[in-house]
Amino acid sequence: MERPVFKPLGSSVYDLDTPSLFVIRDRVLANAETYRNLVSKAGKRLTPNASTHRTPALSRLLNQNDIYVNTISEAIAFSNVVSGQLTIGRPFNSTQLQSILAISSVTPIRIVASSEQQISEMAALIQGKAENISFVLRVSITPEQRGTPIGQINETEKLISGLWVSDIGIADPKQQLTRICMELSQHNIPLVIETCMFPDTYTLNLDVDEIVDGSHPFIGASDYCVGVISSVVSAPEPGKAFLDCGQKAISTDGGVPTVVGNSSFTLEKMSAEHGFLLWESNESSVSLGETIILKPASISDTFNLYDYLNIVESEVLVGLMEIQCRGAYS
Amino acid sequence: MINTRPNIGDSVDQIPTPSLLIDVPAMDHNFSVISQTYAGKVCKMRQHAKNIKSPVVMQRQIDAGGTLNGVCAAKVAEAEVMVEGGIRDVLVTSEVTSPDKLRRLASLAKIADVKLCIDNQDNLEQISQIASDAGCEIGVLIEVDTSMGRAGVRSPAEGVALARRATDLNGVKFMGVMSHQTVDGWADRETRFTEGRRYIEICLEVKTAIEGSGIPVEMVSSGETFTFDVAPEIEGVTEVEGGTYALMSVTNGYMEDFQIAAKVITTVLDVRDEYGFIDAGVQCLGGPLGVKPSVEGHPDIEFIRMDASESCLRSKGPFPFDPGDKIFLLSAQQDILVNRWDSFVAINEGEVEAVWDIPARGCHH
Repeated sequence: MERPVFKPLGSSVYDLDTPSLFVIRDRVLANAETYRNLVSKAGKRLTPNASTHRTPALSRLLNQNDIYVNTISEAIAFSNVVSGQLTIGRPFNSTQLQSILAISSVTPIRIVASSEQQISEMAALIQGKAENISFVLRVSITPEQRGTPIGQINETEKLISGLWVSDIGIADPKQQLTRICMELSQHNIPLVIETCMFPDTYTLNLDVDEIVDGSHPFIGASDYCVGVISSVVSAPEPGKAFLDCGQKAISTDGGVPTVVGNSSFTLEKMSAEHGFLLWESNESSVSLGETIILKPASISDTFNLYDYLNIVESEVLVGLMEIQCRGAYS
Repeated sequence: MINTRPNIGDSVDQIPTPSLLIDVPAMDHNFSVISQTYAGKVCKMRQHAKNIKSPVVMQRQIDAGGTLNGVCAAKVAEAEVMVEGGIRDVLVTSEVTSPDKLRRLASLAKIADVKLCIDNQDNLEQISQIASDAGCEIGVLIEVDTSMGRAGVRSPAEGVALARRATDLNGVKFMGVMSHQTVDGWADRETRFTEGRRYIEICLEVKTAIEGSGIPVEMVSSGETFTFDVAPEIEGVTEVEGGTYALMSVTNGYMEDFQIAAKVITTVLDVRDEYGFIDAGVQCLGGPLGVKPSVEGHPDIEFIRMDASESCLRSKGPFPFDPGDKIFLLSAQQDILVNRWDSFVAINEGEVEAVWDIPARGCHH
């Protein structure tokens, strides 16, 4: 487990033990509100994907009422903060039934299933034991997407409360989603779109009822709003330094991070433990112990590397949250 | 920490998925390779905690033999976990410049034999000051850059100057030199020996220069998994910093003496023609810069896409598993993988033998 030296509220972000993950409170709040308003104005409902940040306390801060999570173990943690409906991205089996019933005792649940058969099986498991569990059917747009192909939707399962479409792995989401939504509208069932690659889906003129998105609190502002603060631990030659933040402390699953605040710095590459900082030696310099802020290329994967999230505003520490669902994979 | 833990004696099929498994006989085989290789040698293994992050597992290598009863740690927090786990000799293999962390290290040095690598005089003086203030002594080794262009001194003269300064200062004890190197791609035995020896000799040049200035050098800590059998044959090397060999990964498959011991068990969620979808994604598997795992026993199955919590696989023909079946994945980046899990499920003869916490997971500090 992460073992930082905890700093008191009011400390400068530059005094945090490095490497540490932080979000800038006013920026994520503004991003979340802007996106929520835009989706609402487009006449659609927003369900935030909380698996992006895995932090129930952050969901509360962001006023996220309805929540989507990927796994049942995440759902257990988020059931304590959700005030609306909790959507879970995986079907459950008989060994997970008790967890599902426990969650459903505190909040309504919606399960995303891949087939109508899965829905029938889950419905049989919960028969008479809970009334606030509903199901949506995942629709597969390409063979590389999990779900039921469009031509195989029978609607024989009356428990389906919606059709679920994801833009993941789609080459041209705008064009593809427009075509798919037109095809699916004939079923007269509420349509939900999970945005993984194209959060601006709400701007399309689609007959869609709901948008599920996780990235919106962390994008949109002109400046960064999620960062990892790191320190220089070695500067062995001009134009080159090594940071105490490597792939274990900032994800490179989605690419190499960028350096915030100094355009002459580039992060050449990362090892497991260190980042390799380069610059033209006549343009800049660094000293041992100097702090460097990195912007992750993959926010979601970076949240999963930390146990604590520092909340910062005006470069001052204003809060500390536990990333309760870090590692909640099952 | 919310994941369900299996019970001792559960069969593999009963383990919640995804889970990170250790094949205990395979790991013990790897440990016995080390104990046999280093038997009767001056040079010993100093296993690296960055790959395993569990003092219980590290102690198993110490008990098997071939080591100097100590370990390496990449970070101060990792060193703390090792000492708290009962290991009393730790070498921190990264430079540390934060006063907070150096104070933590000084505290550890009061109860354990703690050593730290350095490559800068200002940093050395900082360590000296903090250790002196704490009333302890921290061992220091000069890191030598042999090939990777990372941290470390670039010349024997730099090494001599640092060693000389270290011997003048209170609170630090000059111990020797260290280096880390790597070999690209799939290396055969001859390449391993040729390249490994060439790099380690660069480190030894610094040792020789320091000794030539009249300062004794007690430790030469060099070598890693790819040179586990090279370094002990080179006179002057006192210890090897191996880590990957314990659990192994597919990218190190050229190290044929060792077996892959770390696997991720996953469940097939859905199947569609040649495609299969499993309940393990990039967040539990890790995929730094596009590196993907392999499916054990099925080289024909490839990863098409790793999403956050699921992956899409494709086989050359109809997908050879049904929904609910278990699939075992082999990592291409073992220490990145281990750092994403809170526990190992130790498997022996198809049953859960133990569940070992990974307390140094996330110890970035």
